[in-house]
Amino acid sequence: MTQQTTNVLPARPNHPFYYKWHPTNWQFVYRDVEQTTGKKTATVKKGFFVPHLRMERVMPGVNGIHQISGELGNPGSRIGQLQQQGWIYLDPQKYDYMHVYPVRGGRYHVPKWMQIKVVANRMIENMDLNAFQLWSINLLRSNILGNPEPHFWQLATHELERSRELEILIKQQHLPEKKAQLDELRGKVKDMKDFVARYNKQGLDIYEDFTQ
Amino acid sequence: MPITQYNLSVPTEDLRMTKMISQEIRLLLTDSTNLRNTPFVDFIGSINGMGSDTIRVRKAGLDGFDAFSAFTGATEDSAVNATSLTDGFVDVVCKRNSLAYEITDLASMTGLNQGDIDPFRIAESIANSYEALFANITGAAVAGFTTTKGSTGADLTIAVFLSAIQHLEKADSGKGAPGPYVALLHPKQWADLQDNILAQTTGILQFVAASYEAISAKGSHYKGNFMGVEIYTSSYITDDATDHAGALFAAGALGFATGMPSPVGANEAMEMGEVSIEMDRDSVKAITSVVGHAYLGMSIIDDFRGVTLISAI
Repeated sequence: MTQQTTNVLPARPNHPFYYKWHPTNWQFVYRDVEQTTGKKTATVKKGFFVPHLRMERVMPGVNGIHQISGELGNPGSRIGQLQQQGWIYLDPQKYDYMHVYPVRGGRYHVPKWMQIKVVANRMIENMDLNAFQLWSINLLRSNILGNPEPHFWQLATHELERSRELEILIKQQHLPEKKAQLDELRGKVKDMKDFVARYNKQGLDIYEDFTQ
Repeated sequence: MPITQYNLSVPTEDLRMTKMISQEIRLLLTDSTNLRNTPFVDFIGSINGMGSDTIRVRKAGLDGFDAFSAFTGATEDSAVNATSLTDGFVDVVCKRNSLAYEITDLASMTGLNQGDIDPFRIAESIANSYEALFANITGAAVAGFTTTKGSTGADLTIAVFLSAIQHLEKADSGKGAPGPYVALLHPKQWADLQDNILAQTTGILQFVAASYEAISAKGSHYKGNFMGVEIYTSSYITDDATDHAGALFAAGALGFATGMPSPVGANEAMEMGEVSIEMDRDSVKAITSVVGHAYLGMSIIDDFRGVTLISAI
């Protein structure tokens, strides 16, 4: 048995990864932004459509990834296939978002926004989602992801507005907690519509609040 | 002075032992239930004798893909334009997977009885590990569907589950992916869904829990049927540090290819299912090596037939 050294994380090795984005993939997220009206500045919650970047592990044998050696794969043909399907590939070398740690028997690959602590030989991981989303917005604003198509936001809004969840809550709104959930969901639908309307006027400047 | 267990066993362990090992070896928890023998994952073929480690699945729009269009010619004898055939392909690449153990003769011969750890029990174990490999590869493959349902950092709900079903029913511009559907979820996602099912005040959505017979037939990770969807859990579902990426998909969404090596020159080789197991001797060290090889690959064959379900880790 080998003694585990302190600079090796207590985790199993995992595969390297890359981020990809499809123009139909969005998430609606809220952010606290400061709004100044006259001399007063207040913090308000604002909703934004944020590109939903997807992580894909480079695992040989999965989705057309060729094996180079062992668990090391060549995703070249997979990336080509993804690009044909309209995905945008974000090269980890170019955008430098992957951190690699040594672990027993290999390497552990995580996004750079992941904070890792080891306490009592247990690994505690905490992803800074705000920073990650900010990065994805910056990719959008620097035109790396291309111009967003509001049609997909409208589809998402429409889907939520006509969702079964909303219908069920309408029938249960005599219960105070269900009424609160219903109001929250209706508020989200309204915020989504407002966002699309504001985007049509402001364009990508709408994300200035997000990056404050 | 009375004869006691303590006196007989301490300090020399001559008449009694301080501990005896159990006859039976209890197995540690494993997660090897997978969809290999279900209609939800297609066997594409074997790479043996195919001339490549990759099988290209050919796709063509036939049998109703192209509709008859209204005749637009000027007169009844005007020529009709030829329709171009829609085609595509997906590659399924097989990868070498290996698992090897070494055991000394002394460790093997001191085993208590048949079934104790010896080269043959290890060979059987390697063959069973193939099922875990299949589950692992499936868990990674399903994260790749283009369409996602669910919100980052939020639990999986019935609404998301229903939205995924409805998406499949109107997939590819309303053509719809034919059922039956299956959901492959991380246990945490399944727990979220269970909570949400229990929280429903209406009894319309019935969950049919897996019966003993169903679990016997489909494996321990089969959970039941909800809204016509078979539900399985898998610890191999991947995550992106924020969300688990399970999936809901129809038959034809995924396909796998295999390869079976025929080892030449091995002292002893066995074909155990899809795994080739060989044993080797290092006689000067009195060590037997038991090595298993399996060649397997899986790909999304039809992206329209599946939805990735994301929910908080």
